[in-house]
Amino acid sequence: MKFLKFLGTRIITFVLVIMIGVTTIFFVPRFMPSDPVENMIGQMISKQSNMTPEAIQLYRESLSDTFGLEGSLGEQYVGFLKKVFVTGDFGPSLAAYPTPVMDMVRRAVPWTLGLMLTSTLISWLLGNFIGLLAGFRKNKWYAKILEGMAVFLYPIPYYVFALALIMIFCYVIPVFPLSMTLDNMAFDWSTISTILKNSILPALSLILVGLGWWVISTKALTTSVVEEDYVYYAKLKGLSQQRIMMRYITPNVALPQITTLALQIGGVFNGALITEILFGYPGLGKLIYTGIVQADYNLIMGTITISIVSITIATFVVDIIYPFLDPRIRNT
Amino acid sequence: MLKLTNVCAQYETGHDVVRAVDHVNLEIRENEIMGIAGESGCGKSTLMKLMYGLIEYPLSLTDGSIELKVAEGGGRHGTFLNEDIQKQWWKGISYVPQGAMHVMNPVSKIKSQFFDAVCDKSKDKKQLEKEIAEYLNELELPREVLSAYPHQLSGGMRQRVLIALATFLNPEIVFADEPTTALDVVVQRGILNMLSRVHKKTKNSMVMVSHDMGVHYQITDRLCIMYAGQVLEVGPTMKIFENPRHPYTQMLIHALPRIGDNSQKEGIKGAPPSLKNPPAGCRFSPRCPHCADECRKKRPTETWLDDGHMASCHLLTGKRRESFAEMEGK
Repeated sequence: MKFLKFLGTRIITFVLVIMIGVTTIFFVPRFMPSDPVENMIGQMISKQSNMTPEAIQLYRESLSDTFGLEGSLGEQYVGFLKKVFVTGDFGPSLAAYPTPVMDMVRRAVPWTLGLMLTSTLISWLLGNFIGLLAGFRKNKWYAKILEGMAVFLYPIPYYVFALALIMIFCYVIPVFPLSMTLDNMAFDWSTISTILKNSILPALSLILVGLGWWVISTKALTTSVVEEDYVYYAKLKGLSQQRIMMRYITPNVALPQITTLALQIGGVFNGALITEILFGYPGLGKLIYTGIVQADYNLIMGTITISIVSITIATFVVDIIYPFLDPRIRNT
Repeated sequence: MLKLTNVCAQYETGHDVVRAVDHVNLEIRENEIMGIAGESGCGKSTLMKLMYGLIEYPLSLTDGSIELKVAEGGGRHGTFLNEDIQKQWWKGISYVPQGAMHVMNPVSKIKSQFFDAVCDKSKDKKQLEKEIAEYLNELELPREVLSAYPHQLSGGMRQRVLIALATFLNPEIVFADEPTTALDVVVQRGILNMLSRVHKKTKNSMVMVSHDMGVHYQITDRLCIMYAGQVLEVGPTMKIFENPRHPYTQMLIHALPRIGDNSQKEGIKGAPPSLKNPPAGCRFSPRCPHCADECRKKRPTETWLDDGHMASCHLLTGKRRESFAEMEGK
């Protein structure tokens, strides 16, 4: 019963957060001084100046209709909500008219998910493992070397690091292609190998840059957990080092790290903006970038709504599963 | 059982050296509860660590030896020296820590903390759980605590669980480091009763560290009074309370409130010496009302009085002995 109440409040918060996010993303572009319909008509007039005012007016109305810009702001908002929540439709892309935004998103999502999920998970697992080792075996030489590498990696700005990787592995030693070249999308070995070959460098850059932070944070957590009374007492119980590490330190260190991981996985739908731009990777990040550069309102709204919803879902899932991981906040 | 011979130990902190335990001779006998009393920073806990074989940086043993003799089954006895005592952890000697608040893993159930400490792979878990539940029952603890998490138990309950945890494998010596700290007197009494019940049942030895003289009076058989890293007086608890021989013990016991006694109690003036640079002679001399020249210069020797009652004070030897006895008589 208490759990249901807890679940209920979480669901209400969940819905509220999404509503506020979607509302913001609806209103912000509309407060901008430029109007996409006027922009488009302006472009058209500059190309062919022999349009009659009637034709322009007709054009304006039909464009407003297709873009969902008819009527007052309130009416537009209600129409937008109806479209988004009932049919999941964000309208056509303005830049790639008339491709629906949802189609573009649908095409980009598998790319982003494949790249981001694998690199985030690998980075998390590896970083936590190294961090635990570095914190638990503080005085060992290998722990010091691993930690040193993490400290070296962490402060490098991502774009510098990614560019360095591109320079080394695409120009100096050209083992990887500079940008994505995919001819056919048939599901066969050559397609898979091309995808892998194209994804290794962006994935590597993400893993290594993420690794630094995971190692440093896990190491800090581990050093503080190692000094807890219960770890000291476990030692006095005569338990082996492995057992202390597995049963006493790892679960207590992993708790906060799982939260951060879940939030990062929610953020995966943002795509890695810089990665995808630098490596020419056809994911969601590149889509957001395209939308912003070409002032494509529908595309911006579509991609950002997807990322708002996914981050909120991730937070929601963490809230729900956390009591199962940490007995101290379990509602009984 | 456990014998400490001329034990000296020190902490190294950077360039400083703190001699926390200095020339201590002590013996824990079979089937007794030994109390160790003294004020904060007198070396009680350090002595406990040494006896438990927990000798590691920054603590080091500079002189003397600690010898543990335990039965190893089949009538054989094993002797363990200094750090080797660690091999007997939990089987031969166990430890009840102070501050039960933070010594249990917050994310695992009491049950699995028992399994952890027992570490016996020959028994299957169901059987083991049954045995643990029976043992808890004997100690008047509800079976339900096994499936609870540490945060769901009260402080007193946690301390009881820890005592059960430390005594489950029936070790020959149980160390209890201030087991009643931070608990109210009613719970304290419960804990002390439980400890003496366990002691009566198992006939094992127990070492109890506490600064609370009341606790020692209630439960211990013998008592050891420590001051500034040295043992000043050792003897049967009743004798020490009735007839303390060292001036420090006398003042300590005189300061305890008694029922029906309304006189103003006085503390011992001054503060314990720094262990970095202790006084040359008797370490209590700067605060002792009977202090003479020899006290400041020469370390007093251990003087055995009657029936295993020992005190180390110049007043008990040499010329001043008679005058002191006379004064005590008054």
